[in-house]
Amino acid sequence: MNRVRLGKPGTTTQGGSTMSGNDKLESTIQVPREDRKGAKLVLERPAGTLNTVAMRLVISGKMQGQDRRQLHADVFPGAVTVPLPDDFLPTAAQGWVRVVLTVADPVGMGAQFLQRATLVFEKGQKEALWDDFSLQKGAGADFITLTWTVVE
Amino acid sequence: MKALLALLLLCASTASAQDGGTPDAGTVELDFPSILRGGSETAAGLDIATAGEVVHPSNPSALVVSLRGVGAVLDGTQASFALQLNPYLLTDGFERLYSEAVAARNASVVTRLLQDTAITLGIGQDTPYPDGVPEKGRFATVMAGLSVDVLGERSIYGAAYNACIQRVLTDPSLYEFPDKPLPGDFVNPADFEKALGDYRLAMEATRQAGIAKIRQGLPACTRETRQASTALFVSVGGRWVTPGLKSHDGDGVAIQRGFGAATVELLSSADSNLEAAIQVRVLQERQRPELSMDKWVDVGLSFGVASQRFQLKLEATQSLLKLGNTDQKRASVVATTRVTVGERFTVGLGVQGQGEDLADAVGQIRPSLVLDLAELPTLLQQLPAPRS
Repeated sequence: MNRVRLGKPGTTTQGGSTMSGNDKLESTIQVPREDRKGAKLVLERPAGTLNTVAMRLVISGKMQGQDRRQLHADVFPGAVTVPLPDDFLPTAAQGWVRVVLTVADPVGMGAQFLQRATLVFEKGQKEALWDDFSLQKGAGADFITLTWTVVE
Repeated sequence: MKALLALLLLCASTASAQDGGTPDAGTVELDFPSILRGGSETAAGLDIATAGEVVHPSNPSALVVSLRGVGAVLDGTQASFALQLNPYLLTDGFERLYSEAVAARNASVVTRLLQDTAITLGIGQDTPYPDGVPEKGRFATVMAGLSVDVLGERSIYGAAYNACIQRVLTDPSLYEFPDKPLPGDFVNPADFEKALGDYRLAMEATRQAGIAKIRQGLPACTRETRQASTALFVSVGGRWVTPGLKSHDGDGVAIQRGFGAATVELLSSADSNLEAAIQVRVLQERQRPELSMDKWVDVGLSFGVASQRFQLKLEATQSLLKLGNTDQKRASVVATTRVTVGERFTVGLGVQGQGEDLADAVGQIRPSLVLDLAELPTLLQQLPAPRS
């Protein structure tokens, strides 16, 4: 494992999809379909030691019975708000939306920071997920994946 | 000096016992370098025995520490401890993303130069005077050098590397994580739980495959950038003899050597890991404490072969011009090999000779031993808290 989580010394996770220690990498929230318009993902600036890691942000999602959609793909500028289209989350009873951040370390020094992202709906409901991310020196690269499942 | 070295070795053994620990946020690790990539610095004027070790600005390291010549069991080595750092990473880069470092570089020449600068600070036991050894411990040597990649094409924040790393990260297969099972797609809750289990395994497999791809991509970017770019390094530095642990009353500080150098990389073949550089230096050096400084200009040639675990370096210098009332001609040859032993040490064996011309220098060759402790010890330096 290249990745060591903080908070509980000695515990490591099985990757980007499990919860442990200080992470909250996935969540299931209940939002009625009529309240899912005007949703957006708010990514905060990573807080901690960055050591000039390169990050790219890809947001994708899938609603029940539909094909997977890519909703955003670009260099991660450090903080960004991405509106989700209204023809996505309201179109089925259940679905998920996922943030994938690649973290590449050209310097090789590693990095350690907290990355938070919040799914915010127009009517004020919001759900924050975060990764207390640690890339060890020499590990080179890793991913941050945060997944919101939205049900009725 | 001996006390300092002993302390460092103690730190090293303590740090190795805590293997696997993570540093606290807001601190940066000091690490011993393993074999450095590149590094045609033709002695760079600091210390002939450590020719290849003067940090190369295109080896980005926030802070690197090395303990050189610790063996000092063979004649001709002066044990020294060196600290090498990149001023940008240490002052600003630690709280920046790559894209921000690139933007800062494009907006400001000063930032670009800071990103492409390596500073080396060293301390050595006794004096580097070639003639007449004073009593042990009376003096110590302090060394400082600065090297800047003037063209800046080779930097990891430069245009070529930036284009390459963006290409690596744009690969769509990196983002092909599996679809998350939705509870509504399953009648039986047990089937849903099983699907979730399979999903987690597939997520981890995709993650590992992506990590492997990026880990292959980054060194390829380094190679590509090296091959596509020319590097011109300008270096300045000096060393000073200072009172040591057993100094006498009245012992003061005196400069023993000063230099300015320009180094052009003639050849940097990434695939074969070959490297050649030519260097012109202006130097001043004191042969003995009571003498005035000799001044001269020399030219040096450096040739290196490096792989992950092995490095061979051949370097030679020959004086071209004598300045002032200097009448001595000078030449030097250095050959060093370095092997990584285990994950923690690099051991270098070298020979060096100095004389009036190259034949004379070869005739006066003496062995030297260089031992690097790779990635040890972990000393932590407090940094200002990152801005939120």
